[in-house]
This record gives sequence, C-alpha cells and structure tokens, in this order.
Amino acid sequence: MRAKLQAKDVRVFYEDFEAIKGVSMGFPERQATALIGPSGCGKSTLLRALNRMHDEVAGARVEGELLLDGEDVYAPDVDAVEVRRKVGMVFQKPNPFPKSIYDNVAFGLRIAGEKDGAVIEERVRSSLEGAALWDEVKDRLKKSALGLSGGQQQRLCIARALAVRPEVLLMDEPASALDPIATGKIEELIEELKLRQTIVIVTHSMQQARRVSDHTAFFYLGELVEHRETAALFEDPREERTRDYVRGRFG
Amino acid sequence: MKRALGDWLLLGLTGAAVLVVLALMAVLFGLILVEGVPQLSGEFLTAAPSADMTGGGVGPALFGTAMMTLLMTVAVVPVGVATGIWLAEYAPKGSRLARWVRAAVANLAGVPSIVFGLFGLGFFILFVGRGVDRLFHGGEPVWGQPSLLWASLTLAVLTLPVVIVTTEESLRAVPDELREAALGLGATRFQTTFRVVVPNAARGVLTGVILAIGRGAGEVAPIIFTGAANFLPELPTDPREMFMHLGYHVYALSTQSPNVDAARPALFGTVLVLMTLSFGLSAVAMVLRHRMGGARS
Repeated sequence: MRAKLQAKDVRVFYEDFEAIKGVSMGFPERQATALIGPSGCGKSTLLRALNRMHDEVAGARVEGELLLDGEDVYAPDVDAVEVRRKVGMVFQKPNPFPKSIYDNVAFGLRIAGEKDGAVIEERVRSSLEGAALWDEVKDRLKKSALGLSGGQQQRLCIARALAVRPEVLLMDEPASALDPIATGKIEELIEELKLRQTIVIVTHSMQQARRVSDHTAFFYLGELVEHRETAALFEDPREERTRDYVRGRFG
Repeated sequence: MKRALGDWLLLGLTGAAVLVVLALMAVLFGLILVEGVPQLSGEFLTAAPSADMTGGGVGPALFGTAMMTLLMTVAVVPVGVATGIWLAEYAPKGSRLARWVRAAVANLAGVPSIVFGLFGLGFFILFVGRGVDRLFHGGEPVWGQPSLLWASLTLAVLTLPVVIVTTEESLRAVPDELREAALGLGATRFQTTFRVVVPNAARGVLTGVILAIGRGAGEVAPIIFTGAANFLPELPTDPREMFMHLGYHVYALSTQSPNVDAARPALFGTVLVLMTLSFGLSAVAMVLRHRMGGARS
C-alpha cells in the first residue's frame, strides 16, 4: 500500500504558537483517511498544510517535509498553485461562487487556461456526474448556484474540485453544515471518489469517520496520538487518550 | 402606561424632526423648481451667457462641467481603485505602509476643499506646470496657468479618498470563503482577485466611484484658482484652456454680475441644471446598486 502523501515531522506555527507538533504519517493512495479529535486539536490545521493553504495566511508557517508522490511540496522551487491543482479542497461551509452552476464547475479549468468549449462542457458534465449532482441540475446549468440547497451546493463544490482532476481531495468537515439526508449523500459519494482519488477528511463525527474512512488518525493538542486502520482504532485503541475520546469521555 | 407615554413622546419628537426635514426640502426644492423650471429650454442648455450674464444660457458651463468631470474620472478611478485593491488584497496584514496609506487617506478626506484649490495652484500649476514651461517652452506660460486639466486633476485628488475607501470596503465585504475556494482550485492570487473578488465587489466599487464623481462635479472651491473662468463663451478645445463650470457660474451670477437682480432667473435656471445633474448621478448609482444586487446573495 503506497502512501500518496507522506508527512515527515510537519509542524505548523501561528506566529509563535505551535499548532501542529511534529506530525509524521502517510496517506495511502485511493483510500480515505479521517482526521479526528476534539475542537482545536489541529486536525483542520494539518489538512490545510497538505495543499499549502497556510501560504495565504499572514503569520502562519509550516516546517518539515510533505511528500506528494515522493516530492516535497514545500521545496523552494515548488509553486503552491501547482500543488493545489493536484490537491483539491472542499470546505466546511459550501462556498459556491455567485455564478451559474456551469461557471462554477468550469472555473478551475478556465483559470488553468483551458479555452476549448467542448472540453470544458464534457468536463463539467463528468464532474457533476462524479459528484452525483448531474441529474438534479442538468436542466438548469445556467442558473445561479446560489439557488441550490445546502447539500446540493456542497456537492457542487465537490464537482468544482473534481473538474481539475485532483489526485488528492481534502475535505474539511464537508457535511457539518448539512442535514442527515444530504450528509448521507456526501458519504456515499466519498465511497465512489475513493476509486480514483486519495481522500483526507476532517470530521468531528466519529460515526462518519467509521463509515467512510479506511484509516483514522486521532489528534490531541496538536499531536498525532494514534493512526491506524479505522476499525482497529475504534474497537481496540492502544492509547488511553484515544480510548477516552472514541468512547465519548471528552471532546 | 408609563412606557406607552414615553413611546408616544418619542414618536412625536422623531415625527416632528422628520417633518422639519421634509419641510426644509420642500421649501428648497420648491423655490428652485418654481423659479428655475420656466428658464429651462433647449436654448438655455446650449447657448452662452449674454447681456452681462442676464440672458443666454449655460451651454459652456454645462460643457465645461462635463469635460472636467470626465477628465477627473479618468484620473481618479485607476489610481483610487488600484490603491483600494492593494490595501484590501495585497498589503500584508499589519503592514506599516498600509497603515500610513490609510492614515493619509483619512486625513485627505478631512481637508477643506478650498485647501485642495490652493494645493492645485501650488503643486499642479506653479510647480508642475511652470516647471514644464521652464524646461520646454522657455518660460512661456503654456502649462503653468489655470486650465481644465489642472482643475480636473485637483478634483481627482479631492475625490481620491472616497474611491479608495469604498473600493477597499467593498473588497473586504467579499467573504473569505470565496477567496479560499478560488485558491483551493489552483487560482493564483491575481486570478483570485480579478476573477472572483473584484467582480463580486463591482457594485460597491461602482457606487463609490459614482458618489465621488457626484461630489467632484459640484465642488467649486478647488477650481476657483485652478481653472474655472468667470465668462468664456467659447468652448474649450484643449485641456490647457480655462473653462466655465455650473457651480462656479452660480457663484459668478450671484456675486460678479453687474446686475444681480436681472441675473436672478438665469441663476435659478443654473442651480436647477446643477442639481438635476447631481441627482441624476445619485439616481444612476442607486439603479446600479439595485440592478447588480441580483449577482450576489
């Protein structure tokens, strides 16, 4: 089992505060890895380090190595923009652009310089199909994305991320703003996406982590406490802190 | 009971205040409309003043105001919008330079407009204009005299703070989630700014620009020393010539005319044209705001 992404002693600082304290872990290719832990444990911070989103935040700094297919994405000659085309991201709150559904999905291709309308059209369709949204929106592609429901908007954001064909998809609590039915659809979708993409998902729901992930990493106060196959971590945690957390004693 | 009484009292007081405002507006506009409307005609809008400014029309002043506003807009928009974009999107957080720029803009906004006139005279005409004349025209006053160009640039400086502040505020109102969405899709900073942030802030930026234009178009003090002429029946053909201006024409008609009473009808007509112009600009700003409202939320 190959690690698509490999973190080596990754540390994230906000000014002087060390939010991630030397995390080393692998993210197996075409599997889903869940990052869990109580609020403020650093799971989202680590996620955002994986596609260099911290580059955009003043005062944030990342140390250590992060290998994508063996290449350090933090090497000085690597462009963060290129990294983000390979490592896509879906955010906690659905954030479609106030444009049409079609233009939302086409955005990533257009900024990457794709001019061929037929290529864009085909990709918009396949991405919407990939995000299980095509049947619901095929008759209103030119309508504003803001007219969709929250769950549809989130699937649109997934389609938008898929359109640039990322190899890794980062999901930051993608269902936390959604109702149970919409959440179920997103979880089904993750099962599908795993066939082609490597998934890293931050979630505060342990049930969700159990349902969708192959591996789970438990974080506490910026440290990686335990990282194992999901079933093993939940059924037979080795660390006491993990045991307390997965059995609901804190968090 | 006590509370109900207080409510009634407050209602009465606020209502009275509203009535005062409405009454003042009615008197002001009523007077201008009653005295001004009979003056309006195609000829009034196009003809030059005549008979010691008691007759004729406001053609050159209307033309001069339009030209000045146009030049001012061309000068202020690129500089102001670019500064606003830099402040909102590019300046590092806590940047000392950005703090200085913001402080300078805030102070600029508080400067009385007559001071801008003196600044325009001292900087544009005497320093820049005379300097160019000394270098290229052997000291002949070609650039170094009051003109349409210098008046427009002076007003551009005056209106700059409004454009900068509204641009920065409109850009800041665009939620960070949209910036992150674009960056997360592999957009560069530049693409994020110009394809996502600016289009989403366009309504606010445009409103700010139109407000600035409206303010600049009606200002008189800054152009007294820098380019406005008392009486100049010929239309300017070169930005280095002086020009007539509606606001300044109101001042001229009411103080400089040999026969102020005879000039009274022309005065009201001019005021009406000036006010129609500035209301027109505000109306355009409101319509744009409303129309483009569909794009967001």
